[in-house]
Amino acid sequence: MYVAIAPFFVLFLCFGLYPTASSLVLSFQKWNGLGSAEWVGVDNYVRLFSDTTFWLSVRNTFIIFALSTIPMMIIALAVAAMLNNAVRYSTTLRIAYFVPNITSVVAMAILFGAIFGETFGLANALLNGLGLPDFRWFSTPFGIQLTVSILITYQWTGYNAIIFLAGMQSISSEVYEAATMDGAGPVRSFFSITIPLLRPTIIFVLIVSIITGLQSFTEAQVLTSSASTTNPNSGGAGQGALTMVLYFYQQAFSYNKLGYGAAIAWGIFLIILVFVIISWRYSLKREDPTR
Amino acid sequence: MRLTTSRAPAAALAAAVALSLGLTACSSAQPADGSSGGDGSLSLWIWPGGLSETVVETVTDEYAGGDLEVSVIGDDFKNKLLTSFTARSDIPDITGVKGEDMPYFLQEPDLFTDLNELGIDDIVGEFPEWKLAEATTADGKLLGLPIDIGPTGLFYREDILSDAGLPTDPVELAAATSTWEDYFSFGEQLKEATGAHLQVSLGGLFGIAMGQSETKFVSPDGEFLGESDAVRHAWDLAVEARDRGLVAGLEDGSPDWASAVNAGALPTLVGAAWYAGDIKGNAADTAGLWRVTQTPGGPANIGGSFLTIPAATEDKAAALEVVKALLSPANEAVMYTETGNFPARTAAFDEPGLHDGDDFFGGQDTVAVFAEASENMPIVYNSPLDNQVSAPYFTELGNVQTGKDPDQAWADAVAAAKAALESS
Repeated sequence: MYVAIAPFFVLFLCFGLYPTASSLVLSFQKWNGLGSAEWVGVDNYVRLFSDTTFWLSVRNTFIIFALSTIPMMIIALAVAAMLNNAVRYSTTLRIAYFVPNITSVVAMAILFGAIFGETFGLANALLNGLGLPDFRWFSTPFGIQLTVSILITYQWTGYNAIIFLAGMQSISSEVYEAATMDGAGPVRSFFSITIPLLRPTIIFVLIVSIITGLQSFTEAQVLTSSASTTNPNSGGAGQGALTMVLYFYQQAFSYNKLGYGAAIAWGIFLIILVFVIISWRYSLKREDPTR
Repeated sequence: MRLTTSRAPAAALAAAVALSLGLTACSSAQPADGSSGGDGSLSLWIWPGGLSETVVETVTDEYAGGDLEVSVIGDDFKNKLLTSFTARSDIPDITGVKGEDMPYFLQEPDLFTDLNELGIDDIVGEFPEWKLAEATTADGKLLGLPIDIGPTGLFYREDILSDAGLPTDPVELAAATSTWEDYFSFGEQLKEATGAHLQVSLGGLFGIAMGQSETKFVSPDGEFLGESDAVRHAWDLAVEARDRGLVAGLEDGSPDWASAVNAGALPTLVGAAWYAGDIKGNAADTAGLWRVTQTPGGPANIGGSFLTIPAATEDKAAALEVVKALLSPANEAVMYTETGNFPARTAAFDEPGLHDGDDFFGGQDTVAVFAEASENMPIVYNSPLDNQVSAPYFTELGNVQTGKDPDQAWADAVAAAKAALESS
């Protein structure tokens, strides 16, 4: 029996645990990747704590997280509710909503770069059509944060809608029938039955969104990557899209500060850990009021 | 009973598979050399577009010593090469190194072969001195031979300048825009007549001006040069261009940039020789309307790569033969016509066809323009820390572009650059 599960653990040891442990060791060292590493103790962590760019990247990450996760949860719930009631083409619709999630982020980011082009892009053409002025999607920090958030929302809404849908379909139809007998309309049923009974699913989606949202990297990296080799991976205008992981990537792989990069990675780990513990404690307490 | 007996061999098999998987994965006991096993076969790493495909095919076919295995490696080439060096495993026998990564690898010259020791006296004189200097250590080791160079020029739309009543002959225009001051005055006339911008972005202008400087951001001794006259001058030029309304404030290479170039809103572009490829690719409809001349304020170099032979290579002589074949004048000329990468080897300029003129540039002999720029190129010292120390200046110039006070931006850039140098 142990032999049957061994492949996973052997691979995990090699490609999971060993690199993780060595990155912890590396975070106490100074290493440019070529020469020999120098032991510097907690210097990297002391510097991380006072590094204004790191805190800027933390701030950026949370702004992008909020701008993407909140609309994404609401839209995903609405989409799931509609899919749950769809009588025709429901499989086709489910596939259509899921496709953004399995499309290459890089390809989507290139497309988004064209849509949100400031002078000649489709998005500003639409805004102008509605009589609104141009929005600067890339040249202000908030603009670029919004653009990245829209890309993340687009990518994950369908995926989470499918998970919500699975949760909704496990709610017994008797409950809805009883509510209908009592005179509840579809809106009342949604808020008084679907949402409360869907809570475990919502919490699951929220935790996964926290973990992926706080690690967002590809969207920001690709959307801002046209900044040439002179200033790589800096997160675009005003470093607005410099997320925590992008900052780690820049320091470690663009500037060869591998030790400091490892320290940033562990800083990110601690921040995510705090938020996962908070949401986990909160969900436990609410699920079992006697505890 | 039957079940257990039939299970045992299966379990043993699974254990063996798992163990071998694990051992292969964890093993670090690989031989330290590359894949050349003495049978004459060589491995070559290059990124997409780094070498001409035709040249690689020709050289592969002609290589008599065995197999020449060419791996085209995308994405982050430097980090993949670094991984093989660090693991001391699967190091290629010949590898490309991008110009911007060369200062980094110069820190560990022992990873590479000093080409001076291999007998390259017959060809080394045919490469520009300033480009060889980029791959030379302080004690004179030459780690790579250049594939291509990136001398800059001023690209311009002849039709638009003609309509604005400005000089359109390359020699006349070069004379009229020989200094940045002249170039800005020219830009004001251009804007007056057409409403077009002279420059793409503040960072772009700053980068070109820094490329013209003999000193960069960090001295060979590791001193901070971010407040030097050279850096301040380049910064002031960028800010002045903005104050005079000459900068479009677009991202180079972005869809907005392409639209502006197509629409004639950016009739002048300063860029390296390979930038012509970007213009051709994004504004094919403007073919025949472009010309190119010397850069205002003197030539700069942007990019240009090297071929190196790692120290772990067994048959260094064979590897050098391949490098020489790849960089032969004829093959360098093929590379230019196929990829637009400008030949580093000056002998390639004499190859037939190279001075025939480029239809996209109205039949102008563009090679002569860039060859002249290369001859006047300054020799510069590039520190491995330049990238990270210079980054804050580009970030802050981006902020100036969107309205930040230039003095505050300068102070912030200098502070951030100092911090980046101290922490490295």
